[in-house]
Amino acid sequence: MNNALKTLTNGILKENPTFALVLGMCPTLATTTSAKNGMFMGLATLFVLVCSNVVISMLKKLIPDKVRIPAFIVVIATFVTIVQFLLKAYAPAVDEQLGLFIPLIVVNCIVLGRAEAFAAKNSVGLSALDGIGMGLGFTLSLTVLGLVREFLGSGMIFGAKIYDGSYATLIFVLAPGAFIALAYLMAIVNKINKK
Amino acid sequence: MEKLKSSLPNMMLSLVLICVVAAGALAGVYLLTKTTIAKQEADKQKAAVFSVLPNGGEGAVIKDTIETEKGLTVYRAYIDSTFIGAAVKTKAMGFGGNQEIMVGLDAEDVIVNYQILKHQETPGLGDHIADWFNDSTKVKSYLLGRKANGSFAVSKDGGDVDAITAATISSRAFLRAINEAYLALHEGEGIEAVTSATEQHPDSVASAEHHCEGNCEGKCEHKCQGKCQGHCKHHCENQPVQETEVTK
Repeated sequence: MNNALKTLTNGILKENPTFALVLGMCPTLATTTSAKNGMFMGLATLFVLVCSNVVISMLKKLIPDKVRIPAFIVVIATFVTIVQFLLKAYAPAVDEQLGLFIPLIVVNCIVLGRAEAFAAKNSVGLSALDGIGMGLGFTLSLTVLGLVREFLGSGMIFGAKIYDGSYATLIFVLAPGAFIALAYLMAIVNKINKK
Repeated sequence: MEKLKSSLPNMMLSLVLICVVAAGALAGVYLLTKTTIAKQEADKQKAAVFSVLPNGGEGAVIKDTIETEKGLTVYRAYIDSTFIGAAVKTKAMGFGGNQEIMVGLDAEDVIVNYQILKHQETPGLGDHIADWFNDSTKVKSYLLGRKANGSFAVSKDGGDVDAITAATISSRAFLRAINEAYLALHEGEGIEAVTSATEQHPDSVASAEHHCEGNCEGKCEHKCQGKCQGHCKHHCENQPVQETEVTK
């Protein structure tokens, strides 16, 4: 039981995919122009992570070692495409915002990384927990990063106006601001983790 | 169960199996979501068309949908059988990619409203195309209620529309798209940009005269720039300029 809890919480702070493992930087930097975008990107990744972890864990004995990467990618790509269909059908606005970055979850290192490092070696239950933990960690960090960028860059939080946007520091919505905000957040998380 | 060895038949079998199951799952989800996705897209298109028509397109019916050679789509709207205006789906190459804009022109080519369908402009700079040209407090860039004649240009290029601060390229593209929309609407009528607006056919003036009867009241800014210009001029000169009604 202790093991399960540890697996679940591992991804949130200690092995946080964004701030500690530094995986999946492309969606992290590109989609976090607002807290909402970051959150939805995180949730989409969470769904894919949990599903692919579970399926890969179930199939681990059926997949010969030499073809494991193509097999994992097919499984992951399937779930990503399913997410894309679902978003297009039931949340077209989100789909439009995230656009190309949904299909790009396929090549997100976190998903393949967890499949390879965890799901291929552990039980189905633990793999699901790992997927949830890592996914939550990813969602959380993307949301926080989006929050910071949106607040500094456009004066809003989750689309609600906090102060006049014309006083905002535009750079935080643009690419350089993503790096700046990410660096400071990473420094803070590392400081906490070191204690 | 032992883990499968990496022999050729094993590898082939396991990959083929995984691919078949994956393809089956995808086909299933595709079939389940297909109708909803198509409906969402059609709804979005329809909402965009109606949002830019005069009066929100109330009571209007889209009768002709014309695709031009340049890939623009013209939705002509009629109430009963009177042409009330058209929504034109237009596009132009902006700063970061194509801008797709739905723009509504009424029967007198006056811009009713516009909506950005798709764009890849820089956040915080170029993406102001969505709220720059329909902000009535920005007199020099406010386009709603102005008569399109295919010759809008930013002030930097000698035109009379103020470009978005620090996003001239995006603004140029936007205006080009609006100009294209006007040309697409009048395609086949032999209208060339610029010249058409200054000359009015005698017939159209006469019909405008009739059309304008009682039409000036409260619509000075909007109508007076259209065919009714001459007719309403007198009426409007002593009127305060009213804010053009922007439909939801």
